[in-house]
Amino acid sequence: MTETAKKYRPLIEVSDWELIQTMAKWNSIPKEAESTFNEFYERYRSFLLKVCRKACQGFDSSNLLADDIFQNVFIKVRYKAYTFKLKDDSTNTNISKDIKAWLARIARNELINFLRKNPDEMELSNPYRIRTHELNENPIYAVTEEDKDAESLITKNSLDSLLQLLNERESYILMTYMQFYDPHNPNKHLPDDILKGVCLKFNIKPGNVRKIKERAIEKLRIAAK
Amino acid sequence: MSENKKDKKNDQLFEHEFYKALNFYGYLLPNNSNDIERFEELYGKTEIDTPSLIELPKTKSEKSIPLLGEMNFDLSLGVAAFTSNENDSFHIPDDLVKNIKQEKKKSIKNNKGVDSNKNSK
Repeated sequence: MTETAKKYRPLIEVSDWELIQTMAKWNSIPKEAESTFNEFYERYRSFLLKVCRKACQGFDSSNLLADDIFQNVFIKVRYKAYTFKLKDDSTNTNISKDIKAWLARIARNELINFLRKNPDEMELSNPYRIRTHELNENPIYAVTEEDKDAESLITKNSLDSLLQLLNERESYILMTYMQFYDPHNPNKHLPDDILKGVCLKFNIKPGNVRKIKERAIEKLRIAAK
Repeated sequence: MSENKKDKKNDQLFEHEFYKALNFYGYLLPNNSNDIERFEELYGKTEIDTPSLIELPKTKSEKSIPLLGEMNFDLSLGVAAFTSNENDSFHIPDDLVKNIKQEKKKSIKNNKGVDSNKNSK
């Protein structure tokens, strides 16, 4: 470790777990918590920003959205470090991955909050809309646990070019659906509050949201052939 | 199977494949350590710079401290009137003063501060 690095990041050698524990005591030792937070930020900012930028690509103003989510995540972390829980009690192991997973979970919640934003309007959802459990369509395949992590048949290059085919509205709606996609229940609807947000954003009716998503999938499938 | 039904089935299969691809290539936020490992394998662990617009949350929260000109003195005086600790002198914390000064300097420099806006009006 160089002296210069130590000068600018005096806590560079402190373990992640110690940082988290100190940050969790924000109310009792704010100054120490502040400096540990700065070190924590340095360690994880790059990872979080990359993850946010990638995950927001399908939404309009994606970089601005990613930056907003990035900032909100760190604000949450700053004051709610105590919410971080280790999977087991082994505090000496490398917990960097656990922290990254925690940050990604907070980021996901922030993204969902963004999609949910639906000020004032509460009447958009169609109460007569067919609910997920009422749908006749059954999943046509069984999803196994291994399947979830398996490499996709679609390559990265073709995925990128497929995404280019969608217009802004299709991309936004399809990516919103994908945030809630459940391989065990592929016909699942969007949560009501999210659906309201989408309807408001594009000034469309709830029934159209699903149609736009279905058309987008069809368009991509045909293009992918 | 009718053509329509067949298409629907294909769409469902494709949707699943599409989701898998999005998840695999990091277009969805990682859910677990496997996803994170894969993301870092794909996109590396190299440090990237946060753009200048992104500031530490610290700076963001400090921004919410009102500038001196904006402070609601009515409220402060109201609170003071009901505070009966005569021995306590009224003291503005040093860091708060420093922050206010810094923010004022910044706003004057950028000519976007609240004060300059008021003057222009």
